[in-house]
Amino acid sequence: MSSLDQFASVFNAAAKPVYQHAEVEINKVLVVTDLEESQAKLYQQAIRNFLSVVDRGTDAEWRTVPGKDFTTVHDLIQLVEKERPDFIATYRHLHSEAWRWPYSLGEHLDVLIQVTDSPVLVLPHPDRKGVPEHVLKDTTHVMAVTDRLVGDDRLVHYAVRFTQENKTLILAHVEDEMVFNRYLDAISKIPEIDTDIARDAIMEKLLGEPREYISSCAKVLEKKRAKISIESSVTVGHRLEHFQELLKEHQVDLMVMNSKDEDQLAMHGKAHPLAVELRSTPLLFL
Amino acid sequence: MSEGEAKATKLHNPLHATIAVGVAAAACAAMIHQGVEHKYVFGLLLAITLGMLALEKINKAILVLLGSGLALLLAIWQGLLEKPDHGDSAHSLPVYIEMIDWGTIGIIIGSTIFVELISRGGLFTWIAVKILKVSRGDPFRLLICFSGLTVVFSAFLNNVTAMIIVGSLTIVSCRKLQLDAKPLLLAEGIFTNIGGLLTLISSIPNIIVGTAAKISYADFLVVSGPYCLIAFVATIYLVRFMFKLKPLDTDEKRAEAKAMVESFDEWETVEDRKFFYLSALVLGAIILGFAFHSSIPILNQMGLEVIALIGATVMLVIYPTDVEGVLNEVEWTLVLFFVGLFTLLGVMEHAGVLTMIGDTLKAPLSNGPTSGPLAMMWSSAFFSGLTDNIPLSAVLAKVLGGFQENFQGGEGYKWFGEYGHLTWWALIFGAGLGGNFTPIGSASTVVAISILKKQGYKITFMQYVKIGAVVVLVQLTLASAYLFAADKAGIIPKMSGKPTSPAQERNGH
Repeated sequence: MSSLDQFASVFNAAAKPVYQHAEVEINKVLVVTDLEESQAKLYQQAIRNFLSVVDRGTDAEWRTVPGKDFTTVHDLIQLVEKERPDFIATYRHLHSEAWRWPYSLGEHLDVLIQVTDSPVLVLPHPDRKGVPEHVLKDTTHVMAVTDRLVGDDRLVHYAVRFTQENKTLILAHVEDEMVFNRYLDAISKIPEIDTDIARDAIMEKLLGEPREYISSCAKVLEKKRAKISIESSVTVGHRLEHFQELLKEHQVDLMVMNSKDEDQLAMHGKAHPLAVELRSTPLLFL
Repeated sequence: MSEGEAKATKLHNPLHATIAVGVAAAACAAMIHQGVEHKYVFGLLLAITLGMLALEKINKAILVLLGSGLALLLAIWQGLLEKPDHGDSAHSLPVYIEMIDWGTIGIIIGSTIFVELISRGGLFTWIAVKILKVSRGDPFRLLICFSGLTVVFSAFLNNVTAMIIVGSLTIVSCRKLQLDAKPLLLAEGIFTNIGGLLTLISSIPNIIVGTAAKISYADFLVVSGPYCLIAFVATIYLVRFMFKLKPLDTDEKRAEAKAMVESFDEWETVEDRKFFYLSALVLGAIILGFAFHSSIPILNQMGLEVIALIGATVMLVIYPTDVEGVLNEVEWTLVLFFVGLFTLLGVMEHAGVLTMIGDTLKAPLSNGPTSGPLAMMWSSAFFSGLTDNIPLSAVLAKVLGGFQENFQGGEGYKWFGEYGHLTWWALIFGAGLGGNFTPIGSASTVVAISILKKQGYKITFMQYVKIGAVVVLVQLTLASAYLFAADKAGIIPKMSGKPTSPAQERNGH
């Protein structure tokens, strides 16, 4: 072992991803609906029951927006900017019938999720039928999903915040199998690199780091006396299929995911396909 | 980037090598034909070889092998290499084999092997991560810790390997801590030269000069140790001042940086803990072996190289996998370079070239107990800054060895008897410290600069010289003061015994 790159690899591998916990403060919640005022209040109460964990230890202010308070996307954005909530709870296709088709979140949410700094909780549409029984009851099973879990402390902070005491948080990291195979295919055409060794070594590192990070999350949260149990799911596969399997297997009540990054990939590459497919599961977009 | 990788991109032009040999051979033959004295003819050949070494256009091993081969042919043609008849021709070796200092070559081969194996065991990387944690991620503490680490590593490893290990950790940790790696990397390049002064086997010039001057491992450490400590502290504050490094100013930043360095797991760098502990044990035994070599029965009848070779053998025994791979890590370029260099200098000795150089240097060096050693220190530092300090040390060690032989042979040179010990040490300090003067003055600085360039930092030759010149001036001033203070305090022992290399000793010179 004599080259800079070899030693740098050793030290890079020695630098373990460590989770640093921070509490998420929620002082104000904005429930945005397209309902009449009385219905909106009932809806707010239902959501408040579902998210009883938000009121844990704090006296959060819940503000409800009925449908008459906004019409256009611009109105909604102005309203949100004025209220500055710590998170927004709403549902897809506000002021629209398009929720019946699985193709978008509706113009209001498509823009709002990208514009606002506040996390947006997208709930199943109030008129949607066939929502599983456990949904919108409580948050006993929360799942944070990503393909870049290592170092994403904020994602874990929110997922922890929304998990009920003594219940389960699932941290899921899925490497895209198609991308992995495409790189391996390229490697198989490079004589200097042994394909089998490369496959095993890359797989070990790709999956090893998120596992270590999850184990660091569990240790740190245990020290912080957060009474939740952490489960991990780290694999290479098809993201949507894997997450759907996990949803069924664990009867997940809330999924937490990122929706913003520099090149818009978080929303349009990863979160959006999940959001349009998983219409019966509450999704928290950070 | 390893030294080997750097060379792979610098293949010489075969035409240049052929033209150089042809021109040198023709010029020397013509001069001999004209009746020019041998010392001038061979002096020209030495100058051409060393000049081309400085230009670095041809691989240095190939170059000195060409120069020494040509010198040997000319010397044999001119009858300069006739050996004294010992009456036992069956056991006599060819004269060019006897010219080679096999002790130095043994140390290089042995230490390369055991260092490679200890490195594979993860000991150096483990120590490096531990030291990183001691720094708590604070920039000024990082400077102290990484610089200290560089000094210690370069005292036991070759300077390039030390620079690569500490340099790679610097890049990784600075990236994590979002710090500027430039001051740290430049400082490390500078500190390898201080570490290279610490022990007799810390650098090639130390081995060459220390062996020629018959300085023991322990004596070397006693003299150089205090200076290294003084130079370390002074250079730390100098670097801190030049790069305006400040400690972290808030508790929050300190806590964040501490958490970041704490996330490093030193055991991740170790694959096999059993081998790790064994290699640490062997390294400890090797260091003790070097330190107490003169007191160990049987081994004290052999040179220091035997400790390095025993260490290498023990490590190979306990690491039976990939023996071939380990042996391939021996720096064969350096070994062949020394074979050529020692042969070249052996021929020059026979041709009277070294005596001629000695006569030239005699005036400035014998100019008094203060100005003589100072002239040696500052001039050798200057030339080491411009070119490779190994041939410079080898030539000057031969010249100083000649002075001492003359003194002991009663041929005058009383001045050398008075302060020759200071002159030897002046050469060690000068050759060791001068490399910081320019970015090409030492291999470790070259590595530091190339790491910086790879990371996207830009540093020009003159930008480096502005830093390096200040550092060298401070370090040489301190070394000058230390030399005389240590002499007054009786720390530097006067030279005793005949100052010959082990090879010469074995040959009965």
